Amino acid sequence: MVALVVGFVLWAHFGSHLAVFRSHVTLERGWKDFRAAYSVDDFGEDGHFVRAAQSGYNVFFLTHKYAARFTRKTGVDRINACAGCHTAEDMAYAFVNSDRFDTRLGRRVSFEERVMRCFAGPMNGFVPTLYDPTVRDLRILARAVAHHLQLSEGARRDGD
Amino acid sequence: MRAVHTKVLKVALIVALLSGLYLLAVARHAERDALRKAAVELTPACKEKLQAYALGPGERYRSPYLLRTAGRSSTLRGYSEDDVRAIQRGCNIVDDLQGHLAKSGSRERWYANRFVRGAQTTCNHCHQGVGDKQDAAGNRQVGSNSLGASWVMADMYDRFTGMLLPLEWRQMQCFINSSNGFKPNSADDLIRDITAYSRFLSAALALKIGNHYPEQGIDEIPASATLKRGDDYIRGAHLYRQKCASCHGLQGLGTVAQGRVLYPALAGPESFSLDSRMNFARVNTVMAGFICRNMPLGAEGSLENQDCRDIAYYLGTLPRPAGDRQGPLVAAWERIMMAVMPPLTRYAESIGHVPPPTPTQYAESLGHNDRPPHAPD
Amino acid sequence: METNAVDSAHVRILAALRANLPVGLTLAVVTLPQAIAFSTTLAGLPPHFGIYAAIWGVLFTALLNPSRVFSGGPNTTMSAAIGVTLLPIAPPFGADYIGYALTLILLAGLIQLLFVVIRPLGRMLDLINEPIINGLICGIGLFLIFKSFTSFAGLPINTEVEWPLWIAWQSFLAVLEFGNLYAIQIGLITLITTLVMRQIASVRNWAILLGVVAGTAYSQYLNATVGLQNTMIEQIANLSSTGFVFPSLPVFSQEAMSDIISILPGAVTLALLGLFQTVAAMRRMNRKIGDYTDSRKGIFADAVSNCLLPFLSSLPTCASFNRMWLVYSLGGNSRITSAISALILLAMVLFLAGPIAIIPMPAMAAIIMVVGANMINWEDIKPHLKDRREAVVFTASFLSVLFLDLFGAVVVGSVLAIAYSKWEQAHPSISVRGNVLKVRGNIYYGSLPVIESTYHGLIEREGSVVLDFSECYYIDQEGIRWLAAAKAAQKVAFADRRRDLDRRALERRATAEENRGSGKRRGQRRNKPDRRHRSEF
Repeated sequence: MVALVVGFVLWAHFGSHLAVFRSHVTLERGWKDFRAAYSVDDFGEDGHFVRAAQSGYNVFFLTHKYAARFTRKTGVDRINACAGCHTAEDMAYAFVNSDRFDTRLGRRVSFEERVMRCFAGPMNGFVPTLYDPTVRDLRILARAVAHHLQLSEGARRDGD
Repeated sequence: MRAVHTKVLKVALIVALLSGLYLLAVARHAERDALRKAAVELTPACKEKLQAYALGPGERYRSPYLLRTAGRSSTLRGYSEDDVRAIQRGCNIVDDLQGHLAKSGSRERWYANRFVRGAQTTCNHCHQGVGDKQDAAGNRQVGSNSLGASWVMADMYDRFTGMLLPLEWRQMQCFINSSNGFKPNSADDLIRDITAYSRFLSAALALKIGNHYPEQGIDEIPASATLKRGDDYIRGAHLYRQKCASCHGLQGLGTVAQGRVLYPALAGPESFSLDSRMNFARVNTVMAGFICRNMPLGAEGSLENQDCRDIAYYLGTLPRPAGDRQGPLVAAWERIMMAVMPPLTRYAESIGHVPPPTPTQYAESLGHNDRPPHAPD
Repeated sequence: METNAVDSAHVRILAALRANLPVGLTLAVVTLPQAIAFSTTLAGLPPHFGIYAAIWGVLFTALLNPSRVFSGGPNTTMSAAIGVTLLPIAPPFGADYIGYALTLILLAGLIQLLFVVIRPLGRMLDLINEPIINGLICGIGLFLIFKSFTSFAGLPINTEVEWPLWIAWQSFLAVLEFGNLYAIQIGLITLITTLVMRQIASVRNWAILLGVVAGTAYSQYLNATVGLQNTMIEQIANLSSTGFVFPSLPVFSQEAMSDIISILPGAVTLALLGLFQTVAAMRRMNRKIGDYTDSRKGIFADAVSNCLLPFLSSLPTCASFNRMWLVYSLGGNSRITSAISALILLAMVLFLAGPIAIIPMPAMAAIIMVVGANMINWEDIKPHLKDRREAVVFTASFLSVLFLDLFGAVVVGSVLAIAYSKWEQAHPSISVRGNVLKVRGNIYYGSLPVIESTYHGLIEREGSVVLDFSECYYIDQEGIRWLAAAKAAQKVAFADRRRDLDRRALERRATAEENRGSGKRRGQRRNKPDRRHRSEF
C-alpha cells in the first residue's frame, strides 16, 4: 500500500508531465531588459524587493498565468494581462496619485483597491485579498518604476 | 412538540442576537461616515504647519516650501475636500494621539488611544515637529524620523518583521512597540489618515519615491562613532541624573501636569516596550542617536556620542513593559518590576545614603565655577 | 466453480458500492466546504490545498489504514497551526508562503514518522488523556471563532502573533466600525441558514452546504445589483487552472534556512496536534462502538500521508471523529466510503470548478465559526467538570490556548499530561484505622513522601504501626529500602490481609507443605519485604 501511494506521488512528479510548483520567482522573457531600462538594480541585484518587483512584472505582463486565480481570462483572450491596457509608467503615476477621493465612488480609494477593482471588472475575475502578494507585487513594481522616473507624491503626467 | 419549541426558541434567540449586532454595525458605520465628513478642528501645531504648506482643496497643489527653499515650484495633483480632511485628521493624530486637545476627546482621533497603553503616548514624542522637524531656516533636521521620508522609502524589507513592510504595517509596528500598545487593523481610518498625512508631507517637501533623505529615520550612533571606551550604564545613570532627570523624572517616569504630558516617560508602564527599537538591548544605536540629535531640549548637540550611548544603555536597563515577542511570563515579571522597583529604589536611596542632588540643587551647584560641588570649604 | 466465485465477487463488490455510495456522497458534500474554508481562512493557502487534502489525503489514509472506522482528511486545528506559524514569515497566499507551508507539513510528517518508528514515543501519546485533549479542542474552537472575525467582514488580517483575546476584541470592534457591510450580510445569511438547518434532523448533515449555497446565492444577487467592483467581496476564485493533481516541491534552499529553522517549533506543534487528535479520535471511536483498532495504525497512516502530501499541494491530514462517526452512523465502511468520497470530490473539482469559484469568503468564515462552535461541545465538557483533578487539567489546557500560542498550548498540554499521570500515582489512597496504616496503590519514590509523613505522624501518636499491604500493587526499590529501614527501627509490623487470610498463617502452611515434599508452590504473590523478614513474623 505504501508502495502504491509513494508510486503515485512519484508518477505525479516525473511521469505525468504536469508543471511542478516551485516557490521561487520564474524568470520570464523581457525581465532583464525591463530591469535595465527601469534601473531596478538601484534596489540591489537580488533581494526581497527585487524579487517582488520581478514577480510584479510577471503578474503585470502575464496576468493570465501568474494571477490565474483572480482572472477568468486565458491565453486565447485578446486582452489577458494588465499590460494589455496599461503601461508600467501608468502604474507608477497611478501609485503616486492614489489614496485620493474618487468622485464616482464617493470615497477615497487606495492603489490596492484600484488593482482589486481591476481584477474584478475588466479582467473578468475575482477580488484578491488586500494583502495578497499579487496586489503587493504590483505595488512594488509601481514603486520601482516611480523611483526610476523620480516621481514625487501627486506627480502629474503633464506636470511641470 | 416541546423539542420543536426549544429549537425554535434557540434559533429565534440567535437570529435576534445577530440582527442586533448587525444593526449595531450599521449604526457604527454611519457614525464613522459622519466623522469622515465632519470639519476638522486642528491642533495649534498642525494649524501652523498645514498653513505653512498651504494645504487646501483645489485642482493643483503647489508647495510653498519648495518655492521658498529651492526657488522653483512644482505643480502636483490637487486635493479634494475629503483628502484635505484626511490629511488634517492625520496631522492631529500624530500631534495629539490621545485627543487631549480635541473637543470630543479620542473620538476625533479615531479612538487611537485604544491602541496605546497609558494616557501619555503620542507620535510627536519621537516624530518631532509633527513628523517633520526643521530648524528656523527651514532645513530638515538629519535623522528626525520624518514621516514624509518614511513614505517614499516604504515597502523595503524589514528584518524585525521578516517581510517587505508597507507604511501601513510599519505604523502598526509603531503602535505595538514604541507606544507599547496594540495593533489597529490596517484598513482602519486611523492608519489611512496617518498615511495620508505622511504622503502629503512628502508632496509638500517634493521628496521622490525610493530616494533616501537624511531626515529619514534616526541618525544612529554605533560604537564606531565613539572612542570605544565601552558603554557603561553607571556612567549613563550619572549623566541621566545630571541632564535628563530634571524633565523626565528621577525614575524616568515622565512629567505630567494638569493632564498634559510635558515630558514623556522613558521607563515604566507609560513608555516604549522591550520590543521597540528604542530599547538599547534590541538595537543599541537608535536611542543614542535620538538623544544626541534631539536632547536635552534647548541644548541639542551638547552631548558626546559616548554620553548618548551610555544614557541609552542606562535607560535600557530600567523596567519597561514586555513586547509581544517576550511572552506572558516576561510580561508578568516586568509588570511586577515596574510596580515594585521605583518606590523601592526611591525609599532605599532616601535612607542611609547621601541623597542624590535634586535638580535645583545640582543646577545651583553648576553655578559655582570656582568650587566643585561637595568639596570642602 | 471459478466463474461462480468471480460472479459472487462481482456481486459482493457491487453490493458494497451500492451500500456505501450515498454515504460517500454525504461525506464528500460535508467535507468540501470545510476543506476550502480551512485552507483559505485558517491556513492562508489557496483553496486547492484543502480540496486536495479532501481528495488525496482522504484516499491515502484510507489505503494506508486497514481499520474499518478510521477516516482522515483536512483538519481545523492543523490548518490553524499552519496559519499561525507562517504568518510572521511571509504574506499568505504568496509563492514563498506556499513553499514554507509545504516544508512545514513535510517536517511535521517526518516528526510523526519518528513517533511511529520509536515505539516508546508512540506510547507517550497514550498519556494524553481526555480532559487535556478536550480542553485543547475547546480552546481551539473558541480561537477559530475569533480568527474568522476579520474575514467575516472582508477586513485584512492582523499580521504577527498577539494575544488572541485582545485581537479578538479589536477585530470585533473593527468589524462593527469599518467592516464591509456586504460581506457581513453574506456572512450572517450563511450563518443563520446553517444554524437553522442544523436544527432540522433530516438535513442536519447538509446544513453547512445549504448555508454556503444561501450565502453564494445572496452574493450573486449583490453582484447582479450592486456589482462585484462595488461590493468588493472576495471569493474562492478560479480553480480551473489546477487539474486533478498539482505536484509541488517544498522549499529547502540555503537562503531560506533561517526561516525554516524558525518554523521548526511550528512543525513540532503541527505534528503533535495531528497525533493527539488521531489518538483521541480513535480512542473515542473505539469506546463508542465497542470495537478496537490500534491507534498506531492511525498514526502510521497519518505520518506516511503527511510525508507525501506536501508533494501534492495538500493540507496535512489527521483523523476526524466527526467524519468517522458520520460514516459509522450511516452504516458505511470507512475505507470504501473515503475512497468514494475522494473520487466524487475529484469529479466535482474537475467539472464544477465554475460554481465553486463564486463562493464568497465571508460564507467560508461563517462556516469556520460554525465548525469552531461545534468543537465546544457541552456534552463532552460536563463529565470533566465533575471531578476536581480533571476540571483543573481541562481548564488549564483550555486557557493555555487562549493565552499562549498553539506551540505553548501543546507544550502545556504535554506537561500537564505527564504531571497528571504522575499526580495520580503519587497520591495513593491511604487509610488509617487505629494503628493500622493501609496503603491502596503503589509504594514508589513518588508516593513515599506522602506515605512517610502519615507513617511518622502515626508512630508519634500511637507508638507502633501495622502496615497493611493488602491492596498494594507495586513496590519499587526505593520503597523496599524505606520499608527495610522502617522495619529495622522495630516500630512497625507488616500485614497482608488479602482474602481475609492471615499472611503469616499462609506462609507457615506453605512452608509445611514444602517440607512435606509436595513440590507444589502456592502461586501467592509475595512482597519482597515479606520474604526477607519472614523469620520476623
